[in-house]
Amino acid sequence: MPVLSLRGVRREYLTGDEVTVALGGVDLDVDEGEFVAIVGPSGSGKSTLMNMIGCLDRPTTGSVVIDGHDVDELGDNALTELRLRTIGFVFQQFNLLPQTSAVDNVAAPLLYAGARPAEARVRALELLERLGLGERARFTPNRLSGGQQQRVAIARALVADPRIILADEPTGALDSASGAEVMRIMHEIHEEGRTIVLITHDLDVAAQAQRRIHVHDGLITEDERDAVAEVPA
Amino acid sequence: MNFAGIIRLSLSRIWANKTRSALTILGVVIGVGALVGLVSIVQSASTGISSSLNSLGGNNVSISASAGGTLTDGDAEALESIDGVAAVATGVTTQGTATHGSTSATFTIQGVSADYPATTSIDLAAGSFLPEGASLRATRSVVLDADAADSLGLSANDVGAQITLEGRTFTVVGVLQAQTGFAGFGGSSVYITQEAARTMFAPAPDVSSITVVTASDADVDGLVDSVTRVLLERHDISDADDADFTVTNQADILDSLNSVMGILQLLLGGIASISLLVGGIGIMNIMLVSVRERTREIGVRRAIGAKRRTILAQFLVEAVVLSVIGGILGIGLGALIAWVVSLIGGLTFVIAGWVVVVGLVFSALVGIVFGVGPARTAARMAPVEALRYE
Repeated sequence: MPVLSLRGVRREYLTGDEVTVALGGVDLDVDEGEFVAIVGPSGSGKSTLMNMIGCLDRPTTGSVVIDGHDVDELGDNALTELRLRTIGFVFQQFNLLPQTSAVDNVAAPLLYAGARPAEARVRALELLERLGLGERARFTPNRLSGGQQQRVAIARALVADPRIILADEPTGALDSASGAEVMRIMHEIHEEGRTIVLITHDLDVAAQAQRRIHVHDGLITEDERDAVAEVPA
Repeated sequence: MNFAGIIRLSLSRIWANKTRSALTILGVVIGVGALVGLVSIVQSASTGISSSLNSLGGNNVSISASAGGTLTDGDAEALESIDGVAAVATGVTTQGTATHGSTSATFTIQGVSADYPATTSIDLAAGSFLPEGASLRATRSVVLDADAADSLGLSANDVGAQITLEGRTFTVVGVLQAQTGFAGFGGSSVYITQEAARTMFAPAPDVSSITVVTASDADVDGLVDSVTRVLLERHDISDADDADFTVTNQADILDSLNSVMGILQLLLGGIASISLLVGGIGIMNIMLVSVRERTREIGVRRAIGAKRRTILAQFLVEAVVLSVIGGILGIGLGALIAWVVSLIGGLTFVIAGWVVVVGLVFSALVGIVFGVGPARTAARMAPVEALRYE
């Protein structure tokens, strides 16, 4: 069973009396453990697609099934719960909580999951150390470089042990060295068995995935897989 | 996230914006400060007045002549036999001039019986009270209260001095202690024996007032009724509305004082509450700005697993914590104001526990009432739109 399944997903926006179609009926299955890149120019609908996969938005029509749960059947609280347990977000602009230390940023999802603060911090610190930021755990985001902030954000995405990591242009705001480091971490996470869905307009970044889904004008135009990626089952 | 976590989060947010937070809570500080301060000042004043009234003689019932009537020694004797009466004292009161050397002043001259001190709580600073009996020595003795002594240029050291009262020479046998607070508002008095007063001021009525001291376990209201009934009978008056005397008791005066003070407290508290309301609007304003500024943060929190109700709680708690901090500071400010005022006004500083509780509850209510709107705005944001917000 795919960990992520979209059927006929359509998303329309109403601006004034004009209807804009951001997604025009998308079918997509992603299996557990895949490393998928969603590629397309800006305005292609890939961000809307990411919002659908991330349960941040609901389709106008069509169905989204994440980890066996039909999003349409879930209320707001259940959807938040699903997001918390199943999906870890990495954003282009890092989106760390301001004026909040790295360790507290990483611990936040665990606190929302109801963990005890002390335990959450221990787990957060472990992850930061693993990502080479143990020394900077007490720093607030404004004292961290872009690459460091993105590593904190990755630690935060991983802290609740989600099956899917959803990364929206994770290297988009970084210099090439930091970007390469972030991609190295992505591969490492993938090797742990997690499903990675990476949204990018950068073909070099996309080339590092096992499967590339090209989006254009709200539709999937191409779905190419590396032959090697088919093997683990 | 548990409640302690949300509180911690709010405190860190408030601390992160120190200046803004301080200015925001200023309105609540002033509101609660005014509330606590004004109510406490009224309370201090009222406590002072009632303790003074009590010191004038706990549960005494006083009878004074009115509507052209007169009271007599016979009336006083008749009252002594009523159940629950511990003592009866009569008094003759008039105005007169006293002179010492070249200093003279006008006083209330009170002709009292020797047991007068038992009906009131006056304390001697020096000397003794009037001697008993109608001896020459007794009828030429005078006791001065502190004010009277002062206006004649005398002090507690001057027991034995001679003064002239309405043309007669008297010897000062005692000086009373100065009354504190409101007890001194009766003006200055000199005390002489009733016998002396009656001789000097005849044909003025024999008795101008009767004070009945009630037994400590007596039913004062019942006693007032009995006193009225006995006197009406003795004065041959059938309708109590036509009575030629007035019966008052301390408890009644205290009751009406308390009700006046209660109304005053309510009124001033109401006015202070308006400033608290203004403080609440200030909090609401800043919370709305804060929700707008932190739209993206709200989006991120929603994305990483915060439920709507957690966001609601975060902002609501922040507003309540802000206003409660303001409330606590306001209570301190109000207490300080009340303390300074009571120091200046010579009142006993009183701050009631209930005022503190009301101050806290009101400030928390202000936080809830004015915080719930902004918090709901924050909780209702769609995660996608909040994340996209620049």
